[in-house]
Amino acid sequence: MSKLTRRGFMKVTGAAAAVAVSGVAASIPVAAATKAGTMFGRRAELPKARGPRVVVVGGGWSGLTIAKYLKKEDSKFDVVLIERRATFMSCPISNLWLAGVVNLEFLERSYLDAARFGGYTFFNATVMDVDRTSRKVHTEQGYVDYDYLVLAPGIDYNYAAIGVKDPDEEYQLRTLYPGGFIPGSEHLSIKNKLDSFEGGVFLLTVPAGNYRCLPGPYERACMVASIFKKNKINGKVVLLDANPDITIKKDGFHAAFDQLYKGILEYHRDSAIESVDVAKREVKTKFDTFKFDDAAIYPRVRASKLLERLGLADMKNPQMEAHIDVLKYNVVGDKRVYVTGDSRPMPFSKSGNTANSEGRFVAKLIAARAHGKEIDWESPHTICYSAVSTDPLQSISVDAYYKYNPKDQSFGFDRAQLFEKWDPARGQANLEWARGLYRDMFT
Amino acid sequence: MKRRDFVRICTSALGLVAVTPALLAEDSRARRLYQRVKLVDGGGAPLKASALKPQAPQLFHYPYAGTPCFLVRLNGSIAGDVPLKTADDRRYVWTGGIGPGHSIVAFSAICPHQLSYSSKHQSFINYQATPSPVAHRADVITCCAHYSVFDPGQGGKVLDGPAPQPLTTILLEHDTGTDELYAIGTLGGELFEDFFNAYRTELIEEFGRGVSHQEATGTTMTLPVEKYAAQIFKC
Repeated sequence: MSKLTRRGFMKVTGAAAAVAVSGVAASIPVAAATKAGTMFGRRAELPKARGPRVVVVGGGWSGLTIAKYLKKEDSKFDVVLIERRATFMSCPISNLWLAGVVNLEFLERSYLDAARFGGYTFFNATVMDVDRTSRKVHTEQGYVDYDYLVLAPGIDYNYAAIGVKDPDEEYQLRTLYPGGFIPGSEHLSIKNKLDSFEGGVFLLTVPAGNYRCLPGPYERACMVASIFKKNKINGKVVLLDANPDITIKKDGFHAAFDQLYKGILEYHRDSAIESVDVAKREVKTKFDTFKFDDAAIYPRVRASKLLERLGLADMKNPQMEAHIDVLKYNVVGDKRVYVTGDSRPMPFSKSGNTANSEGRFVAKLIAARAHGKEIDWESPHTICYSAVSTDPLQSISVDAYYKYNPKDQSFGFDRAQLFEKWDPARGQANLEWARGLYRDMFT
Repeated sequence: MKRRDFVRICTSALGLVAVTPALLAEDSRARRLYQRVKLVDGGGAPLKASALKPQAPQLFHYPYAGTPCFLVRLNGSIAGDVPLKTADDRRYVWTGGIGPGHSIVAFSAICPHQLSYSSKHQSFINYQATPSPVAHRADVITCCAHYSVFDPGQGGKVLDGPAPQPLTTILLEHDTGTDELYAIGTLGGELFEDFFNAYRTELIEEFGRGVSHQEATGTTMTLPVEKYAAQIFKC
């Protein structure tokens, strides 16, 4: 792993000059610099801290779990969850929602409920910078002091990795054919596309690398195909996979493609996108050109750009993930700051159950450290269901842990079990899995 | 909600089976007595312990009107003296089976992981008499939402999966004179408060407003699980 330039947040006054220190041009906190002297120097209007304050940035599956379990570990913690969205929307189960299995209320949840039942403070704000020297998180509504900081900012997309380097073109792609793995408008747009699709080719893609939700694109292909089948739409799903084969639950998905969606779903392996022509509605892979009528194009995934801006990303890592202690999650050399969830560099599945189980461990670890103790690493737990049909709802699943090899500092699967024969019981369990975790985060 | 710490162990004239010396060392907060409630069948007649078929799980509600529990007669005699502990490190000793051949056990049918439970619509948590693919053995209670596996012959101990503590034991009493069964309390970590918080709307739908959190009194109806829950999920 490369050694990073670590910056405490530089003094905002004369920010432009100070930036050169890191040598990372992209990390200029532009918004921060221009806001100097306004909200930036002011403390955010929040209830006074009543104990050691832990600020959690990011209200996804990781941040929500950590906020709740910090309070469970030690009720003296004063926990503030900072999230820029006003409403939670779940990425897990969103494919089932696209196919009409559940309604939007199943996916959307209230941060106010999460904070009320979890006993912490929800702060609906956007993080702009972090000063690790004076331990302040700066938002557009002022700063928040912290004793411990957890950054769980999730993913961003890397369009350059699929040959889209022009910002105009990237904007077109983000808007017209969204990836659909960062919940919110992307998902709503894809639902509208599907609800109004009149026929032709609907293109979906699977990126290379450790992208968010490994089985997600295959499940989505099944769900879209099930919509075409059910509504007798003269459409075809074309799924372009950058990988040499289906990345997880291979037998189950291949069987579903062949047995349930023959003639409706076309799967192409080794088909990494090298360029996209938005105007012509076509994508080029190494050997082929694919035309489409509509699409949801999932580009490569990278860690949230916030980490890069804060100087906490490992820029040699192809996904620009966090430079942290891989067993203890703290930023190398700073036990006050942690990075969790889909920005982590460890090769764990970027999925809800993984983030939830990891979050419980990180909460326990921070509580231990706040009392001067240390605890051993515990593996996250990946439980991941994928629906393959909707009438009836039927799913396949995987259940796995991870083990750490200290010799080469690598991680591998441990106690992995695959359940690749779909049935209606597993379909119902798929929904109950989600309800269980929503209960954990929101009640 | 009324939560009572254990008061006296010998309240009942019938006495508890197997009061072991180890009990004295346990955390008193792990054991609570509630109303003594008789288990009756669907027709209101008292359940007879000797008539229970082995490995055929039954469902009743206790210690509240809306909190489901499993009653199972296991194969053979189920010894006690199993040391267990709750998620918050309270130690207790499980006392084993009661009734004919010490074979009858009861546990709360609420998963200690994410509170999946047996409702009239569906039950993801179930006793499995036949080998479970997830557990790789038979005679287990599995929760198929997140693959937790519990051993009913060992006080609901966690065998596998994410559950942080054993199933809550329901303390039973067997009247040897009449062969009737009573539920008298709980042993281990309770989850009822979290359960009521998590399922406000579902419990109103199933039991009506203000019912589910009433303490059970008198009798509690005990039905075969498959007669109570419309869908049963095994894994």
